[in-house]
Amino acid sequence: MKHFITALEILIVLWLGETALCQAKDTTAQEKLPYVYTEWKHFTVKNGLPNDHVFAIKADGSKVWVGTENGLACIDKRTGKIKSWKEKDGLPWRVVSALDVNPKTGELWVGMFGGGLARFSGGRFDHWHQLNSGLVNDVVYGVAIENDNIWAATTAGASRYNTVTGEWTIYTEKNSPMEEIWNYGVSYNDGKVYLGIWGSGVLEFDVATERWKDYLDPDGEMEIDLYRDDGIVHVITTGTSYIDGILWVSTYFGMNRYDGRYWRGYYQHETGLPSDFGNAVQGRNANEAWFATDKGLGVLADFPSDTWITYTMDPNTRRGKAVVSREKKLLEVVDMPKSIPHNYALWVEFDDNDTWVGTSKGVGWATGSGYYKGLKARPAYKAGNVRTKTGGSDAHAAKK
Amino acid sequence: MKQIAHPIQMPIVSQEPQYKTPLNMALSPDGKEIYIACEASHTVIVVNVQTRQKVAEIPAGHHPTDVTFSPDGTRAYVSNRLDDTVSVIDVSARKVTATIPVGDEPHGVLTDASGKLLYVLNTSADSISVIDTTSLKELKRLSASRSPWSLSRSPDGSLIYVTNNLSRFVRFRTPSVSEVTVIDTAEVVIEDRIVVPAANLMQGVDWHPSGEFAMITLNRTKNLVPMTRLLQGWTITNGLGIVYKDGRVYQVLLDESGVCFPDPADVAITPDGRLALVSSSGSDRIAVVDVHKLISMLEAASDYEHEHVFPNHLGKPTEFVITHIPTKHSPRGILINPDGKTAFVANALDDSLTVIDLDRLEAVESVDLGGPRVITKVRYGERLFHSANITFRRQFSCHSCHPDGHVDGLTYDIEPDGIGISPVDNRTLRGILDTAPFKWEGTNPSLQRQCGPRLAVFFTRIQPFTPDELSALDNYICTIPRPPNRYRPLGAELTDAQRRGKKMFERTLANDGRIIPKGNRCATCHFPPLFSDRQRHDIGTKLWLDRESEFDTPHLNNIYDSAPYLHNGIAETLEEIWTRYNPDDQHGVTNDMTKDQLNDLMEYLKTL
Repeated sequence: MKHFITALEILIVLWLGETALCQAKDTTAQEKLPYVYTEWKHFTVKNGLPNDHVFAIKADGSKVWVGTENGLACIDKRTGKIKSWKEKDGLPWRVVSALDVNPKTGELWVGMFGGGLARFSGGRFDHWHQLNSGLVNDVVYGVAIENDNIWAATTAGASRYNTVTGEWTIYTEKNSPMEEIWNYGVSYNDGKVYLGIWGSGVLEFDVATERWKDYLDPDGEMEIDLYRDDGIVHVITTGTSYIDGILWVSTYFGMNRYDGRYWRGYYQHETGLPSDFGNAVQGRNANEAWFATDKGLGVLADFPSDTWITYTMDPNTRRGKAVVSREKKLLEVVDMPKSIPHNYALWVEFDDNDTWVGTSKGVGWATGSGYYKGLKARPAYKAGNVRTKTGGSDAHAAKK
Repeated sequence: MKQIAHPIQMPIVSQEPQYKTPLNMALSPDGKEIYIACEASHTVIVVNVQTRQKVAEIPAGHHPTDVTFSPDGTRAYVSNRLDDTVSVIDVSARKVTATIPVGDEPHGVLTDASGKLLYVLNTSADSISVIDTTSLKELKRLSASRSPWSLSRSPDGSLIYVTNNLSRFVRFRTPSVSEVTVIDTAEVVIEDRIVVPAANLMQGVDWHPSGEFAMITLNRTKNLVPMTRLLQGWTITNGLGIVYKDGRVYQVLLDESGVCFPDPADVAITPDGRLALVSSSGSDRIAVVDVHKLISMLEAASDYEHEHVFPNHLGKPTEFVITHIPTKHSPRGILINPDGKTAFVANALDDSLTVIDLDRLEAVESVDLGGPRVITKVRYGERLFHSANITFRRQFSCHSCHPDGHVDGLTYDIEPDGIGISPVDNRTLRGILDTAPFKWEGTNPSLQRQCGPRLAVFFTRIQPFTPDELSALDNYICTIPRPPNRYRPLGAELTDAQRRGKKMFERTLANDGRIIPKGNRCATCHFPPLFSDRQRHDIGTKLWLDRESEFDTPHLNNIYDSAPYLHNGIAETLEEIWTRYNPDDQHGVTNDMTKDQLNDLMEYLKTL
């Protein structure tokens, strides 16, 4: 027992010494930086995807569903194997443009570009379209599950299908503040449905009250922001994401964050956004959002400090790059063997610490081992320094 | 006349005998009591297993259909098909202590192995309600196939197999495709949907104790072959499906060449896995299947035999059916005692249980459930409706195509005029009183005509019903109730969408202001209370297969629960009637409607 206590004392002393040493290192050499994804894996037709043009991704446990221009796929994360379905396999329509999983039933809901809506359950596809159901239009851009209801954003309005009563409700300019009816995206969280509409900004539907609220560009339809942070940057809205009381918005002319009172606009020229042309957005929390653009991925990694990460792929070398910046000040550049598979990014999906990105050349799976929210003190790099990621270990481990 | 107009005393109240109509049973976990769901008396009858005497009768909701116990035996759950509820019975108090709202027309009920979750099959909503048995609240609703009927839990508790009474929708003029829905009880999701080709009316299900497979009852309805063509296999064959846990399905018949096994309703396997008992509600018998012989036969067979021979071979049952045991009228649910010595069969139209000695394979006793001794004309008609005695080789009954008076969801080729001519959708018998004429071509002015000589010529192919039988059958059919409308509870106001839909239904002007000709307005031909003018009209739905272009105007009450639609069943949904099959506005002026207007119209139609 005596020996045991002595050994314990030694261990404690050693640990305290090590901690003190580390703290000393922090104060001298470390800077608060965001987590950078450096472990990427790509999935394309070569791995078994039915098509490389990826429009939607939905993670559900060990399964990751992928909607492509010519089929539906499911990646098994444990094995890396891909199973796919085309029209010959029962998929009702070739172009899968939107996906969501009902968390209660595990059913996959599939929005199809020109083919309406499908439910995939137990290996069976059920098909709803504008001829056999109350779906307003077959060109479906977005799908979201809200309680027992399925929302579909279509080119002719939004549909809400109650899976218990079978009732279909259509929302257009007739019964909502929808100035245009071309719905680009729909999302649901915490009692609110958000529609991103081409030409009509963002519409908010409060599920409890069934009341609508619209968010339009105070500058009208101008492609510049006359007065910054006065509202949504443009009414051509492509995506919405509501989390922790924050609404994130992507448009064709910049992005937004809205906390219920204040708007904040984001543009390429003053942030880490690779482009103002936003295809989609996913908010991870109140301070982190990922924007899929036509020129790469822009990640607002930490809202309070306005710290961004820009992920791109070099079309010549195929290597990946992550650039960390703050107010356009370059903090770090990480050169990687792989990043996103293509710079035309169309979708982002979070999967615990991992992130999945849909592009026009396949799917990128970023493994987030050691992921942390916001910023963390880690060795500082001078602006412009390039950290090269060569092997299989992650960037942070390589630095030690 | 004056007396009729101004009666001076209250009319004598009709004292119709109150039958029991036992359908399904459950054995209490302590093995001492059987609970029996009795549809007609709206009760659960309790029978003591030892004494084989009725010891209690517990009022439940309307039309109790199935019953199950919680694993600890403290509760029984009863599905009330007419009320869309489940009654929770406190077993020790023998009374209902709670009522849980579920989906339309709940049928099968079963808990998971722990008893924490209760699965309820909503037969008319094609869904499965999952109930938290602690809070008695519905947690989620899973999608089944069409008309989920019965369910059975695998011996290890990991899977529940659900039979579906109706085939999935299939393309026009193609054979049925039915489904066994597989629930993963750990995740509480649908894990698989096992396809059973060419089968329908899959009802009973029971897992073999080995956990390797389950057995299901099924029909193989040859609705695409004219019913008069005996040599082409005729109309309906009856049998079993063997559904393996790896998804393989084999089908075998229980019909034999001389006499068939109509309306197989339930199957139960003995605890040692040696025997399977199958009830034939249409011929009042139990078939005893030697499971080992059946499985050996299947495992020794080729793929070709599995696919083409066994599902159609009337000689094969003699290789694995040991014997047939007679019961009383219309046997439905079967229960086997865990000791493997005794089985009980619920005789739905005799208000009794048949007790079978499984060593002797004989019926040894009948348990009287206390129904009236007198057989009324309606009850007699009900027995005729459910009996296959009227058909050649006792192949099917009225119930075979109209299960419980409703629809089997199929389109039939009935007439003897060549393959594929004049296919017609099966129509419900619910609420059929006063909806004459009958037949889609509207040529039968009365039910007696419909069910009399015409039935013999086109369907049953033997001596028709006698006038007395016909009268009784007519009486019974006219009493088949229509369930309460699920989209507009009695006395409820119309919703906004329904109100807007009513305006569309009653409109006289098209969207552009044109006056809609009277003959092209919905309400002209579909007026209340039945929403039918009982006339024939040409609404532009004649196909190359049809002889006639004018068809009977169907009544619209509860139209939502009898898909598919139109005379040939070509429209899977109400929407398709107008989006696909009314291109020239012959079936009402509808092509000017916007999508939201059409949706509103659908919402209103469902309230009628």
